[in-house]
Amino acid sequence: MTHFLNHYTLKYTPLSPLHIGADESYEPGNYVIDDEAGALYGFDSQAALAGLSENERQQLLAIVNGKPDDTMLTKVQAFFHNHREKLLAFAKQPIPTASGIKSLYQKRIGKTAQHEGNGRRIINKLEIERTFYNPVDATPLLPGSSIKGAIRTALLDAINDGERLKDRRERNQQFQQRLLAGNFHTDPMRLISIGDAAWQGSVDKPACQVRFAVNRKRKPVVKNGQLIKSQAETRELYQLLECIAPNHYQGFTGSLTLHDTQSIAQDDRKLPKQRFHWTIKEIAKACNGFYMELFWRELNAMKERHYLKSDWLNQIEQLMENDLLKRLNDGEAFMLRIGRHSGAEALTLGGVRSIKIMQGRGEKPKWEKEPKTWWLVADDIADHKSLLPFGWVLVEIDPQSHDTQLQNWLEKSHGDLTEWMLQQLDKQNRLKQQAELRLRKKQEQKEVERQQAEALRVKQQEEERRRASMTPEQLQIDALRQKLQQKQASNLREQIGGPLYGDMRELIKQTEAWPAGAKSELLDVAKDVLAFIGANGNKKAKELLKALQP
Amino acid sequence: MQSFCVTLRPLSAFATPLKGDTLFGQLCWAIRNRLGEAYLTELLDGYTDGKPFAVVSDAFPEHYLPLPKLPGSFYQAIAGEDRKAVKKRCWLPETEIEKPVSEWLGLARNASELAGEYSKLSEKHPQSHNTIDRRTNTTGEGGFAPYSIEQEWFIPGLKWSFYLVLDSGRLSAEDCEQCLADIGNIGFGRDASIGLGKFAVEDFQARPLPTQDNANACLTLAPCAPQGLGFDGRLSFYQLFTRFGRHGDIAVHQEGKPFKNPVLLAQTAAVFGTNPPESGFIGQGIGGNGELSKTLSATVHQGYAPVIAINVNSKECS
Repeated sequence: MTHFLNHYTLKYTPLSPLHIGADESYEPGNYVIDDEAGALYGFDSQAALAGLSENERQQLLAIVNGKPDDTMLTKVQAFFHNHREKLLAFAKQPIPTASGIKSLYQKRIGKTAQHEGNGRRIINKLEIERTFYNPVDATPLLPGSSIKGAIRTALLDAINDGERLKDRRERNQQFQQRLLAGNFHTDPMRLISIGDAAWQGSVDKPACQVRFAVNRKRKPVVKNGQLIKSQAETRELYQLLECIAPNHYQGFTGSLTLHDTQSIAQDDRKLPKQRFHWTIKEIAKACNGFYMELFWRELNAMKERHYLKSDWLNQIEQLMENDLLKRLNDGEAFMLRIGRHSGAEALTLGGVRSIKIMQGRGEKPKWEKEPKTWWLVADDIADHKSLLPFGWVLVEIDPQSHDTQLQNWLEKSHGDLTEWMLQQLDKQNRLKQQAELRLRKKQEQKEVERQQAEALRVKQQEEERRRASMTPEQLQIDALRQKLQQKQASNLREQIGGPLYGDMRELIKQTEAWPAGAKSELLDVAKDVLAFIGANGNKKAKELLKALQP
Repeated sequence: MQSFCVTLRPLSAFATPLKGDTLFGQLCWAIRNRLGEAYLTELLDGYTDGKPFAVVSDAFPEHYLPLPKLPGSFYQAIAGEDRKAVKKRCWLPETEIEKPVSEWLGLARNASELAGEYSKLSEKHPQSHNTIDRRTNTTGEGGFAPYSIEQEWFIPGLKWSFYLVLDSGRLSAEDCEQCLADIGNIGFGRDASIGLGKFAVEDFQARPLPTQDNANACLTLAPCAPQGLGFDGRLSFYQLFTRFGRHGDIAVHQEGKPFKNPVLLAQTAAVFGTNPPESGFIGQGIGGNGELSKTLSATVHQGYAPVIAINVNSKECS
């Protein structure tokens, strides 16, 4: 049996926040922010319906049945915001948000952001872009395609080795095919099979955080004595991104399988070139060669501009000074940069790099050797000193032991987050219990009402059955008896000559042709009536009753 | 031939359904890769003459089998459930197989009952991809400009199992298990090299196919080609589907096209009126003589299906 597959388990540890686009976003129609703790709670339509009372659901329905315009959207936003406490109980797990996002949300939710001259209103949709996730259990995920793309860039860069393009007209695809000496079916990357990396982080700390992505100039540019800001910064452009938090050691696990083609006939027309049948060590070396160089270059440049959060920077530098750098050099682990805002240099190759730099509106783009700005992670839009880079991931290959220094930093130094999570989950559970209690009471009330209605229905049925078995005379007697009972129940005293006595007198007048039994029955009721109105001794009354006596 | 039950634990999303004929195709490639082309050629000898070395069923949720696609008159009616709710009852617990077929509809479960708190067995979700120009950091024409594929995510904890009827004299159970583990490592189906179709083989046990006494028909556990096999039409019920097959692995890169000719098959959970064979499968091997593929004339396709012997009697309910 030949050994043709080499399988490796890869453990991924995000070292800085990571956002991989999922083409989905949280919108105020499906999230609320708990102002007190700055926690974002996503919810779906079922949760919204479960959390709201009948009356509130009607209110929401009235809003969404209105004209579908911006006003409706602001009203929906405001509605959910105002009813957030009820929605929290049925929402998904809380996600911490940057401090600036909390205040932005409070300021803008349900309000028009800008009125334009032509009467148009601009509303802030407050969208938060989601990072890629497993749709079944909503945990974050590193897709194999992102990882493989990053490895491909490093391998391409190693092959190109800083060479310039030989022919400026060479296109991207031709260029890559030339480097890899193969086209679609002889592309050596097809011998590398990468699995999606699934979330393995601990449950007592949030997996993600919501942060700002802000744009900052790489080099200081001074004009008329003023430091120039980047275009995005000048126009206060930012993004709200859900990022995987760099707080979990070996937070993701995935696989890498290398196909060894030694066992099959080597045919260059069918197989990738032999020199590109990389081993895992060679892949690690290429990734470290490309990404570590970029990592240090970028770290130093950011340090010069004092952009980076100091404790993160210190920890990273200490880690590298110790064991980690040795492990990287030995090919036991490698560094990758993946996801959004990795920066153009992480996606282009040395030597051929000619990055398209967009200019202002209406101006032609420029082509440069390096980008002019960085997109960085921020807690606040105006922050310049506590920023983090996007997308750095440490990948350990079949690790046999833990990197305790890294683990301690990522896990023990974030005790505040664990505490935060516990508090939020406590609050959510409390609200859930309250909601369940409300629901149970409502159901009990409904059950009582149902039983009462049922008892009434049975009583009415019995009454109908009873009346159906009566003769016409008995029905008349029964009507009189019921009037008497009503008066007795309400304790309304009556005099002789009152309506009850009057009805009785009228009925007795009609009894001439009645059978003796019916007359006797009416006599009993009539005596009760007289007793009730206190007319037992009344002469006229006695005279009246004589008509009923046998 | 010996039957085995194989249990898989999905480790990532899937883009290709775990159908018996697709699994068989990938098993052939796994054998070729691990044991060599000559070994596979030897195993495929007699494949189209009713002597397959292996017949693979679809993967089903562990401990469940598909409810046969029989007309309603074969089943006892279920009071109080509307037609569409009844239609969703498609998973029969393996423990109930011995009970009469007429009771099976009442014993069958729908997907949401199997899924518990998740309400469905899987969630479909699109994933978008893009290619970046490694010179300019832009996306655009050429290579893979932005495109999207649909993935299927199975609920956590759900295992899938399938039956495998194996001629263990020709391919040992150990080799077969190893080749299945290889498929799980490389990934099954589409987009395997960028993350999808990974699974672990949790269990590989010899287990007889479930069966009923006095069987007069066969319930198929994979797509099957019943054409011209003389089954009793009065007891045969099936849904048709056309398999637009495609070569796998490195055959994709042969000269010519990667596509096979379409094949008309009877969908899984068909019932065919025939005395259950001792071999544990029915159907036929397709191709092998250039009929199926102009690119690789030796290409075969699994038209066999493992079967469960059942006793079907429509009069019980009429």
